[in-house]
Amino acid sequence: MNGPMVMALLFVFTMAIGVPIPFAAGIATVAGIIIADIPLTLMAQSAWSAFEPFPLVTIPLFILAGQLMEHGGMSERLIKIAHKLVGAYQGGLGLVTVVACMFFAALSGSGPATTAAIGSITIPAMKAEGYKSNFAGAIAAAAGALGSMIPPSNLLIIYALVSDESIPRLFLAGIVPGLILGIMLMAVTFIIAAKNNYGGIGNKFSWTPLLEALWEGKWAVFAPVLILGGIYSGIFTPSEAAGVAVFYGLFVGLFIYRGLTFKKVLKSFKFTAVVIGTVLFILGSTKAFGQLVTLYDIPEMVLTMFTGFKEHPWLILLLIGVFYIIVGMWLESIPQIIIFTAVFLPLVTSLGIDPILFGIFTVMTCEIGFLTPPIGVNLFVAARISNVTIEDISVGVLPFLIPYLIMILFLVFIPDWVTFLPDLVYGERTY
Amino acid sequence: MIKILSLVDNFFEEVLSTVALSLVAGSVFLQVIMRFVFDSATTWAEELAVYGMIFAIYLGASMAVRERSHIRITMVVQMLPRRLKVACIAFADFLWFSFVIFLIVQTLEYCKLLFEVTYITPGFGIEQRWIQIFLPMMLTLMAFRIIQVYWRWAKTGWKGLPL
Repeated sequence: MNGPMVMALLFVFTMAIGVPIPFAAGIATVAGIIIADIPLTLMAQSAWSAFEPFPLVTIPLFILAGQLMEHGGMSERLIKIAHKLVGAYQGGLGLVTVVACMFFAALSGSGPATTAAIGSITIPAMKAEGYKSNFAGAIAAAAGALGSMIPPSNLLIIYALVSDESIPRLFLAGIVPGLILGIMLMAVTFIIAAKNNYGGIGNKFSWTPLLEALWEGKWAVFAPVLILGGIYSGIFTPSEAAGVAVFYGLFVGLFIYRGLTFKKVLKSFKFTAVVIGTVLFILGSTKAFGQLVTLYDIPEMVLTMFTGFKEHPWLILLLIGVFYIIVGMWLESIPQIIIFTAVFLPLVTSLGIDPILFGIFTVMTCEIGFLTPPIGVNLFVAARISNVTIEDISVGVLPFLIPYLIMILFLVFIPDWVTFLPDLVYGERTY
Repeated sequence: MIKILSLVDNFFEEVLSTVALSLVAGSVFLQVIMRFVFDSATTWAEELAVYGMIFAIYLGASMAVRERSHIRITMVVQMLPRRLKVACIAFADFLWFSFVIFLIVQTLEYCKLLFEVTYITPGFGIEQRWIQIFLPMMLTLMAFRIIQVYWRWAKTGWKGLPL
């Protein structure tokens, strides 16, 4: 019997009838193991050993730190700074949302968390200013997705673990695409705001109020300095930086901004446990899956499938991109990265494409997945905050997908600039 | 008595997963402090962090069953007429439940293996089996939560969906 085929069909079928994704992957893996005639205790073994790599603890720690910083009052400070920077321009509150999301992305590793942290404050404010609800929600959803691109990023950590690449290198590579995306999102916001005549708020830009806001928000501004500066100066490993971020968030939230109460701290812990229980859980069932992929020589099969296009790496990358976006509409990002990196990375590297570039590319396509129905986590979060339906907000978010698509084309056709920054800091990669 | 039971029911995973996550954060932070202040590395801190995380993941998964917050794709199912909808979800949950039972059996099997060999953890220097034995226990808790969801659904007179 054809193992991979049975596995794929079973995975899709069980998912379609409503088995939660990690368990659907588990059931498919069991079938694969039975067909390949391997002892079933492999599942039991990987249910434990999949979680043993130490860098994995970075993810729950960053989720927890993000929660503590959000509830502790840092997002308000960041929004205030963004106000003084861009508030006065056309569509001011929309621009503020994008900028504040960029700031928050530098202390959170997750897209939906960034949407929630900033959107829950700016969406109601935008609606009060007369913005259309679905536009207000769409800005927060689209800009929140930057949380997974601007370092730290949970998705890049997962990619680093699956592909055996360095986390700091991937983080560095994410900075420039993240910033460019932010600027493009601001441009889209500005154009739509100009069309609908949404005005600015507050006084024209001047330095004094900005510096005041920066000073007032210094503890929030210092968080990314501590996290990223710590990683790049070599003081902390990424995992340690995440651990420090938790205590920094706790300290600032409890004693300086005093937004945290005992109840909110507990809520943050519970939230983190549920997120890792529903999302990271899939690692346990897919570690065996990864071994099966190698066993069945799936990368080899994919390679032969694409031999006709070998001359045109860009075409293959583009095809993978389209495939990722379609898959991303249905699948959560973490399972998507775990399952398909194992399948496509060997093909991509054999074409001479840099694995770091492929990581950024993968995460970028996942972000489009965040923003497209039916399973678009950012859309869910933003729709709930702005009180509109998923359908409504999916339409509103369409113009904001353009920057993401442009970015993907950039990555495919002129890829060199992505690896420039990491190469500059860590030296050229040697294979 | 019933009060205590319902307290346990409502907060068992919450409390344990919070403790586990605190251990993760605490031991990673401790590692940083140890390196800077005492200039020494700990071997057990990393191990404690990883074990804490594994416990938090499985407890979190079980908590998510109780709150029905596991991520499922219900788009296809939602299009079906009610009877089929219920049948579909019930069948999906049955598959899920069977998978969890399967994992319990396999992890027990694996633990038996661990009891036959010596596998000392590098950090703490304790037998791996005394930690891994918790895995089937946490999975059992999860299976119990799945049954509990259906039991509660029955009490509402099978109203709505067990989602």
